Amino acid sequence: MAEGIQFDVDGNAFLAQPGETVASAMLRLQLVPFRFHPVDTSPRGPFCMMGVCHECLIEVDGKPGQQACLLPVVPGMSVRRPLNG
Amino acid sequence: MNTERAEICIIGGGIQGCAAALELARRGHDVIVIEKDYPGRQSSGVNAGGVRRLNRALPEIPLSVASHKIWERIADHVGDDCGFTKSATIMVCETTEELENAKARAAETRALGYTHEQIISDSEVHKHLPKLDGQVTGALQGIGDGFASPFRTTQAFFRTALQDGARFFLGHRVEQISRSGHWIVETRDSRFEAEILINCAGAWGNQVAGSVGDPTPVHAEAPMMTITAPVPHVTDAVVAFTGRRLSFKQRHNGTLLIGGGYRGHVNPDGYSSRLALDKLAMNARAVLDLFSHLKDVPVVRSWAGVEGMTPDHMPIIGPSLNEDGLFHAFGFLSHGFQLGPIVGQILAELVETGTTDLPIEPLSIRRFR
Repeated sequence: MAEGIQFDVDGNAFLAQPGETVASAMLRLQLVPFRFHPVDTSPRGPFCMMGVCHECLIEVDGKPGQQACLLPVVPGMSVRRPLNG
Repeated sequence: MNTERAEICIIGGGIQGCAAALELARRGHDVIVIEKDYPGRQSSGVNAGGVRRLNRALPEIPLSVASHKIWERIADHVGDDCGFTKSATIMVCETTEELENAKARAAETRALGYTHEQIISDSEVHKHLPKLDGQVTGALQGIGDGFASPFRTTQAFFRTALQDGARFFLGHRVEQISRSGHWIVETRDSRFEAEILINCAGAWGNQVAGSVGDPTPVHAEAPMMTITAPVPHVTDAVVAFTGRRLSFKQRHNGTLLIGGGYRGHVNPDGYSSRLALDKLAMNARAVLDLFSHLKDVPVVRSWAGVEGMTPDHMPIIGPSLNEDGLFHAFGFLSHGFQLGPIVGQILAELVETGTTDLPIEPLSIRRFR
């Protein structure tokens, strides 16, 4: 399966399936939790997988607060998990 | 066609109608409520939830102060604390002139004998808003004010009124009102007969009033609200700005609830609303002008509820001028939620005695004659 889409999470390279969203790729790769809650610091990750719950927010290409479940992975995408708040 | 008879018929199951039904049922009256959707479908359920006496128009203050006393024991009143939380409620001033006006306002209400408004200093404002960009001069604060959960509150009044014997007909949209001695209210497949009619129809209050000879200039508007994803601490207060169209508070879970009187569109059907994205962008910009660190915070949801607006921004409360056995309480745009508990009591007093101890004459429909 050489035709994966290369992207990176926290500086490490991974392969996503064509058409896969950031959230599904990260769940499959077991890159959890996605972040920690800004108020109570509990670990958070995707819940609804359809753009409603806003639990999967991550930083993509330098832009924070992106909904991972709505973003298809594109080649070279750089994802950062804001693990420190 | 199904016919229901009662002593009193209330049109509208928002907070006003539910509060009136509760008060009347508790006093032993036979009361029915006709509601086109369900309690809290529009502004009673989706407003900002302010429990605020701060900065009310002078004629509203006695009612607001009396209602606050019921809010203080709301759990005893409706079996639910309604999420009522006391919180510093402030109107922030950014210029010397704004602060002078706020001081004059505080002095005016003090002179009238009220003690719920005070001036706080710029440093106290910054304590409530530690991440505010820019300078402030002070604020007018409502002492003891706060906020509650509007849908939960309206549902609590509804539930308690039901328990106390009021009968609700939900999903019944009034099509015609007539009189043959008693009032006759018709919906698509039911007919209601009552000796006394109470109009709590909110944004649609003028349709009811107009059809019984009490036309008013009330029209429907749809103020928009926005909620963000949770963010680290921004404020512990309910905040409005004297010179800007912006108000917000931060809920316990960290989300920011943002408003400012920006209007969405009332759909041509008159019963639903849609957002005006250009106005939402203005509302968001108003936040970022003061809190630049919030620029990447996602908006989770925005919405608008349909509310009734009067030209002088005060509600219509009191008896009809030309029909016996008819009372109005509608057109509360943007500030009826806190008044709901006392309006229920006022309407019950009007039904029973034709009068009330509270000074409602300035809110009479008479001013629009």
